[in-house]
Amino acid sequence: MEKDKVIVVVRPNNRSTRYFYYWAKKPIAIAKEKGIKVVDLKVERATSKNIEKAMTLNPCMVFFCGYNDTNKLLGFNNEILIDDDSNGLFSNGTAEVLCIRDTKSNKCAYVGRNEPFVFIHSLSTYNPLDDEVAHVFLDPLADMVVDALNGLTVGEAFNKSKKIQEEEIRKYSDSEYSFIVPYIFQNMNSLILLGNEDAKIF
Amino acid sequence: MDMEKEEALKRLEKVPEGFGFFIAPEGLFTVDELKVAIKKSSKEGEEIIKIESHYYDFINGKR
Repeated sequence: MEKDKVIVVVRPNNRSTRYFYYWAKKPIAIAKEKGIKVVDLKVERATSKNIEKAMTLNPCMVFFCGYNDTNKLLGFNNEILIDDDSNGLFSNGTAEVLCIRDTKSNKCAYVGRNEPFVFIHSLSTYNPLDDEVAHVFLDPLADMVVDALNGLTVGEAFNKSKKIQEEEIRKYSDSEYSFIVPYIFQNMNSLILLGNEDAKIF
Repeated sequence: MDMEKEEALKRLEKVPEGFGFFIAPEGLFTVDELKVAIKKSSKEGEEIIKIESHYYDFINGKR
């Protein structure tokens, strides 16, 4: 187990966060494979009290699997975990979904959104991870976290995610799923990176 | 209604049966606004329902 490498994952599992809950599984598995300690604040553990406790471990990455508003994130029983009064995280009008601390310089980077987020999902799948359409929207986000865990800087992971979304736009423009393209385009443009883009955890 | 919302609702008209959509932040559209958008595209009078805060599923007469 690598010392000083801790990540915190906050993933309430309710109707409004269920897809994000499932999409966190891959980054969590990758982190564990790498010997990184994962504090998985899932379902009823997604409380502000547990977050405060986890933050004392000085994590190199925190990501929130849920997007409730542009000025707050909710946890178990709709407890407000972070709002615009919390440490200035929302000072740029974005709900950050990923925070990475450079383990050498301690400077942080935040990835979030500055516009609404919309994704399309299938009604015929029970398990969200079997939903092929949702994969198109959510894989680039989960893979961005994985890339950061694999040693890319936040900037590199962020740009790679955008590039993948550009490729998806081209791929689906002339397909039966062309109706999803405007949403991918909007989501791609609303994804923003703030802070130290050179931050990395390895 | 501002242009961005109007544009977004036009896009929703093109979402076919069998798909739902997730929207954040909460309250971006009212349920009535969404109902209008969906009914415009429906021959059978599809109905849209608000399941929870962010997920909206198309429900047609066949389900």
